Amino acid sequence: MEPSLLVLSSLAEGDKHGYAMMVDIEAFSGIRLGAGTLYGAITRLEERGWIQGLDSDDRRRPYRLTALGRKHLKEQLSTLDRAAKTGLTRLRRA
Amino acid sequence: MRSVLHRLVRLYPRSWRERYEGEFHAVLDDAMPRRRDFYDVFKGGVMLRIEYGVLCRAQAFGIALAVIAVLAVRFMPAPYESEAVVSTQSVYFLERPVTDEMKIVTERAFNEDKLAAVVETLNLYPDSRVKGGTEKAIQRVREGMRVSTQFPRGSFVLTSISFRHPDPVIAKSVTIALVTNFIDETIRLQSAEQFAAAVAAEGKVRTGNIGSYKMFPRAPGQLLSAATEGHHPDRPKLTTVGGLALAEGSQIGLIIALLRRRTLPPRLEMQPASI
Repeated sequence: MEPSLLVLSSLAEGDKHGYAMMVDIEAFSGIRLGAGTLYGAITRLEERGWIQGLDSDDRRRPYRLTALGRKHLKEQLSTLDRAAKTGLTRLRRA
Repeated sequence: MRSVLHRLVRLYPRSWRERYEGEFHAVLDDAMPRRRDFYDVFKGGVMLRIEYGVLCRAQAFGIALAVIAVLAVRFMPAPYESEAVVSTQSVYFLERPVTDEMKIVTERAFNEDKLAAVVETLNLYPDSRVKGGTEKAIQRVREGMRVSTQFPRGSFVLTSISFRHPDPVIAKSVTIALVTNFIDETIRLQSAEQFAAAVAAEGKVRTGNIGSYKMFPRAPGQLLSAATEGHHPDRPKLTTVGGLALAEGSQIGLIIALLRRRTLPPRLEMQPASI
């Protein structure tokens, strides 16, 4: 599954810093993103304005899903949902 | 392990590090490092370098190839090299150069026909033989073998014969076959008349082949024995001195050969064998 989508899904629940995202993603998808993959995704998502880094006194900077990111996530998940439903229906018929 | 991951962050573009380095190190500190994280952090750096225009795709491909090559060298099993060092003495050193004699011996011992026999006997490189015939297999034998000679004193020659193969058993078997060919050709060249005379003087000839061991009657300048990793009660006990095998109580002019391990610990394995 696309790392960007996993990061967006994780932030849909609330603000999280990098390691918290890593743990959450592993918990809900079973996929453990490496730090390189995670920060590659975070960099791209922030550049597109889909997530936003928040100020922090700590090294662990939290990120927040923006309205644009929420919209994009919704579209992507809807597409995936349609594809999954179609696939499952066809499997049942076969 | 974690410190190596932290060092890999230097691969990331400077402008990226100015923004993300602190939190990236925090994630590396928090997460339990795994072996695959090296690749993940390395790949992340290369990808971001491409995206930031610091690195073109060709350079990234080159770096990836170099890393793969280093890992391949690090993790691929080293081929086993079996080596025999054979010491011979020429009876004709006053009449003809020892170098000429050795050249003839090596040419005869390792010619196309002899190597073809080795390939057939040991069933070497069956895939190559199917695709390219025996010639292809011979070519691979030539690629795996090494023969070098040294002339420490006038009539004495030290010849190193080795063969590399991933399978130690095959490496040893081929080296033994090559040494056998070499010894046979050495004897053949060193005057059939002298050999016959020596046989008559000794009253017997014991030629046994247990894969690695042959015993011949003692005669001046003649091959006396060739010892590899085989063992026979008649053969002197082998000791290793400076990487060469010397037989205890051996006389000058003996042929001493020893299969010596290079990639595995240098340990002699004496196995009972019979002629």
